Amino acid sequence: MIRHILKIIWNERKLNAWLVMEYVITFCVLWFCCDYLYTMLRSYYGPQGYDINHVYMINMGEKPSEKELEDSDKYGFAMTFMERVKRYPDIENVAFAMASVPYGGTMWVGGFRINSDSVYIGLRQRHVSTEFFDVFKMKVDGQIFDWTDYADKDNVVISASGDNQFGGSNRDGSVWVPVPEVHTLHHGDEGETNPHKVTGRTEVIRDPYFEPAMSNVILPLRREDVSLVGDDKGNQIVVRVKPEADKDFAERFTRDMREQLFLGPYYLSSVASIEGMRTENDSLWGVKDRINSTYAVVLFLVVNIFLGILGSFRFRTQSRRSEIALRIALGASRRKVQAMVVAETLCLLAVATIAGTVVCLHLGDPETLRSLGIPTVDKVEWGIGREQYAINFILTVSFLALVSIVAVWHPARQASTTQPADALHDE
Amino acid sequence: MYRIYFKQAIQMLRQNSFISIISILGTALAIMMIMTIIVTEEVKTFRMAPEINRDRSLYIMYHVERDTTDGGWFSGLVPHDIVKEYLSALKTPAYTSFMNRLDDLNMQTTVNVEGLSDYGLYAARYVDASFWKVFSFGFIEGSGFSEEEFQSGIHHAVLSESTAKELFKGEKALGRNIQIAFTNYRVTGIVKDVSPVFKYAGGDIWIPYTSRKEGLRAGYVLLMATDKADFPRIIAEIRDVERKYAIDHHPKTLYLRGPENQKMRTMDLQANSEQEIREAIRIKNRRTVFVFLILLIIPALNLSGFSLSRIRKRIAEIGVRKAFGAKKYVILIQVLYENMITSLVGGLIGLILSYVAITWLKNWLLKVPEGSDIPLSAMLSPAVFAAVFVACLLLNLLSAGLSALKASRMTIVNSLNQNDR
Repeated sequence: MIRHILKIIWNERKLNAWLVMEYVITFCVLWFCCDYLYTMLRSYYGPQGYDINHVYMINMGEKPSEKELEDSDKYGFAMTFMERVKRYPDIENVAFAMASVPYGGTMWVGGFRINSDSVYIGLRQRHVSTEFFDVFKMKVDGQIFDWTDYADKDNVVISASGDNQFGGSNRDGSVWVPVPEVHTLHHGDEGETNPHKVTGRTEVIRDPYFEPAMSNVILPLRREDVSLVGDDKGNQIVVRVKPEADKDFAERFTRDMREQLFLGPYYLSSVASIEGMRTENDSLWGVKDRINSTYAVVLFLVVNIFLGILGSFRFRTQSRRSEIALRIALGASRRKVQAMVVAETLCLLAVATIAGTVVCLHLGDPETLRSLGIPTVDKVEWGIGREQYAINFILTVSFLALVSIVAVWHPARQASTTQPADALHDE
Repeated sequence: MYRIYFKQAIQMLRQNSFISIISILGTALAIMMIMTIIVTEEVKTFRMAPEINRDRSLYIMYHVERDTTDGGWFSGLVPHDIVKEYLSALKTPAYTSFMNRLDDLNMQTTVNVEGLSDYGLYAARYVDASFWKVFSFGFIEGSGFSEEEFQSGIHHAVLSESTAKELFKGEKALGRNIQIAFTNYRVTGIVKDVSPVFKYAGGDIWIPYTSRKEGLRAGYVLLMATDKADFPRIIAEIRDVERKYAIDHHPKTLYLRGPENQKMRTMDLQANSEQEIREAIRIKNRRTVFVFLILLIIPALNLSGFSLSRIRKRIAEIGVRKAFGAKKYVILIQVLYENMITSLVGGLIGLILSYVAITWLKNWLLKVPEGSDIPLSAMLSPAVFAAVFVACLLLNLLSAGLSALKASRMTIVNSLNQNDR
């Protein structure tokens, strides 16, 4: 039977070539859609190096007053604040930070030198209290500094960019060092006196969704930088809430703690979940728009391909009504004729699949996409390997096969149930 | 003659209704996508109260300060010092307004009626006097503040209608005292509510930033030109400011992103230098072309399959016409004309669908506030119809061009024999 089918295909090679071409192109388009959606969603929903579930940011305000507060007063108020908030039953932990909270809106990039290198490169710096790691459930390999201990003031924790490399770039180029080989860091602003010692390493921290991750230096928050209100330095307060208590937390906390948190000139201004801040941030930077428009384009392409395949094959089978009728007149069973038409279509699809796979494996160049302004994800960075090809292949082939069978089978059945005499009249 | 073609085309569409529906649907979908994109872009730059001067406004939302010695940099909103020392001295813009960013949950401020300790959180916009010139607010009572009042740091506040209602529980608000962040203010104006989708004008409360102890450290700068034609001069002036800053603050350099016009603002460009912004625009344009190509080519590919098979059925007819003296180009035009009817029917349906899509996805696509309407002129302009027509024409040429060419080239004998190989 296969030989017979191949013969039929060969006899109609000109028309079939056109169909195979249509198949190949749609195959490539679908493959690309799969590939793109998968990588995009993976980088959007994938691990980010921190856990923002049940984490809230507390914003304090400062009433206007005549005299400026001393640094030590600020620190004192902050300690009282911490103590009171920690006593609140729903709270698991409290942390202070500067320009560190994800989706917090502020970001610091400082010039650092790695080990004995003489070139300064830009690294994202975060100043945090020790509890920060706990609040965001960051796993640290090595030792975390104690921010209240003066002896730990130069110890830092680092996180790599993807691919286990640590480094960054400046105007003239970039420096990359494998993570285990990073031992000391010199901060450009602080001169040559105090190199920071790397005592711990944490997982890759991914702030932007689709861009490569930046290397981070996490430093202990200095006593003199502690403040309850976020001013120029971008001070932030975050709390982790017990999972079972994370319902209407913001409202309840504001109501219960408002009185207790009138500390000197400070007052409780607002409480916002990091999850909510992420949503705000996404809409602000058009991340959601981007994902939605990708869905729209993919949906459009899929519907078009669906219509195209449906139309072409239905048309083709319909115009072969007389052939099918002739076969039945000559004694072929209905089922066999239907099976033959379907098998013929799948044969064409198989040919196209081979060609399409070859094309897709060789095209898919992320550089071309980037130059078209389509955000792509570095697959290596996200650890997306060859299994993705299998996913693309299976989804693409099964979609095409399904649509083709639907398109062919119905008119084939119709043709095989009409009276041969009727159908042959058409000739 | 074209009437006969028309009748024939309609007949053809009727004959195989399944294929006709599919090809019309395919065209309609493509036109819908293209039109949705075009109309969305159009509406985003439309003037809407209170942002009625969008067409002659330039925005600076972001600055980068680099230290040329160690490669470190700081970026973010435009700092007040730069506005005060450099931008307020700009000569070309009619108005330079400076306001805070207000699109975060945690940027709300406490407000309470004087004498009551119960405070609520509201979105407060810290603005200058030019703010009232640049935007058009619907004042129900009272007014904004003048330049002199602004300079003196007067404690006056303008409230939105619903804020006033909420705070004073329906009592008269004008002239009453309130506390904003525990500082006393007098209510001197009530305006109609402004949706937060207006990134620069929206809010619940507007106060002069000079009335705050800390002023306004950083924010957005809006430059309003007397005329659109002044834009290049304003941009040149900004570049001069950057050069001046680099001299004054050596070794630090400054980059003020943009200034961007409304169209660039809708692109959401992210850039840390002038080259980067130019590259970003180039990439955006390339992407637009790419997206339009995809939206045209994929449906065209599908449709061309149909038109090819349809032509194959009519080879004999074409042969007869040729035998009676029809020229090649006549056949070519006939096939294209017939196909164009399908395209136009699809185009019309697509246009209607695109209106449905836009109205339905209004909030996502257009950032148009809930309850307000999309200006009808944006959707029904001649430019939009012309664009639909051009898109249909392109789609038609792409999908039927090949089969029309093939049909017109076939020799009479082959056509009459239905031999298309």
